[in-house]
Amino acid sequence: MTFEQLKNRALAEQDALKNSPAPRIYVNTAACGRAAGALSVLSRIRSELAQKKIAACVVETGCLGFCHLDPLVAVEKPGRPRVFYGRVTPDTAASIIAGYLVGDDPRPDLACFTFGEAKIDGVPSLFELPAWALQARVALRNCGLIDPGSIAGYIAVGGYAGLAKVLAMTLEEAIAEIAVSGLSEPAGAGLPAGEKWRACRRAPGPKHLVLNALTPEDLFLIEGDPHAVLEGVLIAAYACGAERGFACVAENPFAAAKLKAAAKQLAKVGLLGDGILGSGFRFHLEIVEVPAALVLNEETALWRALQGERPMPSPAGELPAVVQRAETLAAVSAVFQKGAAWYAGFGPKDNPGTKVLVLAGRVARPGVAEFPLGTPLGEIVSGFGGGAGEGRSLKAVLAGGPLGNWLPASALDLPLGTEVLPSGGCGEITVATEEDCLVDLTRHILAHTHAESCGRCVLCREGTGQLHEILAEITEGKGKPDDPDLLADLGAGVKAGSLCSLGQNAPNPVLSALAHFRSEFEAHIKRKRCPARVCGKFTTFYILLDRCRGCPACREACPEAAIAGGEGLIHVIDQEKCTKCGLCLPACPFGAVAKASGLKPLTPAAPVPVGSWGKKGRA
Amino acid sequence: MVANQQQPLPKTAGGFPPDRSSLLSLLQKAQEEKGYLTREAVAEIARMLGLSPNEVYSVASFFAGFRFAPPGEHTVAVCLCPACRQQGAGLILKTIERELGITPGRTTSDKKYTLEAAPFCGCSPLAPVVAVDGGLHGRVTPIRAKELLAQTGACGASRTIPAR
Repeated sequence: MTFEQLKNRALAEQDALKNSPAPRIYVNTAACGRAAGALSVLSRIRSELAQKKIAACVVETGCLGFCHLDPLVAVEKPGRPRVFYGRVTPDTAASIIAGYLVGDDPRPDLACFTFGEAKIDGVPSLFELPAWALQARVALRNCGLIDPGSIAGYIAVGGYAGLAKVLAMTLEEAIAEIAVSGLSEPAGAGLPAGEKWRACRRAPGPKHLVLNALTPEDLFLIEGDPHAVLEGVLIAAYACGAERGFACVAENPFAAAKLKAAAKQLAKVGLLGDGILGSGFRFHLEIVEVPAALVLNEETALWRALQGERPMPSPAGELPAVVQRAETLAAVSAVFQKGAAWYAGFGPKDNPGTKVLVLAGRVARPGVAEFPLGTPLGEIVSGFGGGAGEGRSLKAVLAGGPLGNWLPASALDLPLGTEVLPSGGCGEITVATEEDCLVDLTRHILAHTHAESCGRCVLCREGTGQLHEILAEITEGKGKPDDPDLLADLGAGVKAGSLCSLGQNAPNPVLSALAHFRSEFEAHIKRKRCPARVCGKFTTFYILLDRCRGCPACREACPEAAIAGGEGLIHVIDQEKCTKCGLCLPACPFGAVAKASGLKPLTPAAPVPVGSWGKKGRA
Repeated sequence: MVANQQQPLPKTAGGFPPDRSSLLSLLQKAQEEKGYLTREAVAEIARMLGLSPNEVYSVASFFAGFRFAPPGEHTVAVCLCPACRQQGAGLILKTIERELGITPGRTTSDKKYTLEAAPFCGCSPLAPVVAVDGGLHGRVTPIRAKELLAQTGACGASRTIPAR
């Protein structure tokens, strides 16, 4: 089948769907949707439709990136825009069906935004939202908007046109095209894709194309738009001269199933296998579920894992493969669909591109989004994320996941690029406020990286463990005055003495926290105080005398029986027995449990009747 | 792909080409079948690929995802990534530890629950995240964590089981 035939068939199929009188309901069932409870919403929608005998088409989509609104459900009636509803529960789903499908009320009170040209009174358009306008959705262009399970849906929005285009080019022209776009991996910092492909093509022997879909951003793409990634795989394979490839997807039954289903559809229409689209190009793809390990972000380690060996990175050498992340490959397909010049227009002229980020932590609107390089970090955190939330002040941002840097609030004007994400591909941005102890968070990050060290380089294997131990001692009240200097020296040593980017970046959280928040370390070491009141050793839990109403909630929550009290008595925590587990804090319905650090709160020695303490105090 | 091509090998190894590059897939398949990697499964994989069992163990033990002991009927994983930890994952882990009477990496003595600490969840915007038998649950509170345990069956019964 030629591409024209394929496209016409897909367009006809999509037109038939569009012109059918049946409304369509879209439910985000990607990882974040499922975590928010989308599956129970989905089953309620199905049962409501069956019960009310409504013929509607239910589509499971990927995530749009507004994870704070999950479960996100959209309803599209013929000739109307798609209306999105956020934080849908099974009950609100039923009332939306009753209102908009049985009746004709789009429920603007529940709706968040619309997608489409027409408008609905009282509901903003998606394109008007600042969180959308800030973005440059290249890799994420279809995520959450199309049916990831339908190849026709992808072709109808311009899909596989890029592949058709590249097959008409020579290999050299294809590589020249990607070079013009300036696409690189990790965005803005790594080797330009053009150079990587050229080097692979010149190398002797058979070549392979390896898709690396192991990070949360990559899985997000696989779940939301697997065909955009696979089109990129095919284009890159053609340009490198690879006839065989591996799609490495993190052990995740949902993402792997979506990728497998998409590959099956491709094989069925002749886009995978021998003689793709009637050309001489052939490509066979094997989908491999790879267990999670941080070191697999190293190309050489991933290649070894595919060979069935222990995934230890080796010194840079010629791999018989090009390894690219899903995020990059989804951008590759966009470059060939829309032109290299179009992509080069995003971000700064000398370093164009976009980057997918996962915004999480203490932020009002966490989610996943794609921004042009050069966008100030602060604009992303406040414009997309809505800032740290009411009544909180942002303290720091961990940019780049477990291998990233803590950036202070004063560094938020830094443009998105190598300065913000020096650690490579990971686009995780975690926002911390005054409630978070950076020493404690960094300690746990190092525990993770230490466990993930492959063990090849001594400084990474032992050094990350030592960094973790020193940090643990600081949080446990055993910190020594010269610990910060020791951490800095050791961190620099680990960086210098490690072969791969895991070891070279593992000390980043420690070194950056020391550089910007040294006073927090010193408060722990010298003043035996945790400013965020997180570290148990320096924190005292106590019950506020004026708030306690004498109910048994905290007493029942305490696993150590450390809380004394009774009906109508102000409860008292026995500091000797308290293990600082914190379970009493959320248990109190009146917010009477409080934390203090570095000072001793005034509390009675034994429970006193509610109200009596205040009176005595005044008298 | 490279190793052991001289040795006579069966044409397929459990549906995969009989060379070392099939190792990960074979290990996953074996774990899927029994819930963990049994000694016999490892020996069988080693035989099919012409490797020693030690070589197979050396790869399998590298990944935290492979188990060498049978898991409980239900697996409860608490994500401890920075975003989850900030928003109370530690407290949730403690709640579950207390309910089940086990620490991460352990299985209750009635073989009902295995508790795991996960380094990342893949959906940190919904932190804190708990996965029960692979099903993700976001924005979990300690109370919700107890409910999730209760939904898997009689969690009250397991509370009496002493730690380890």
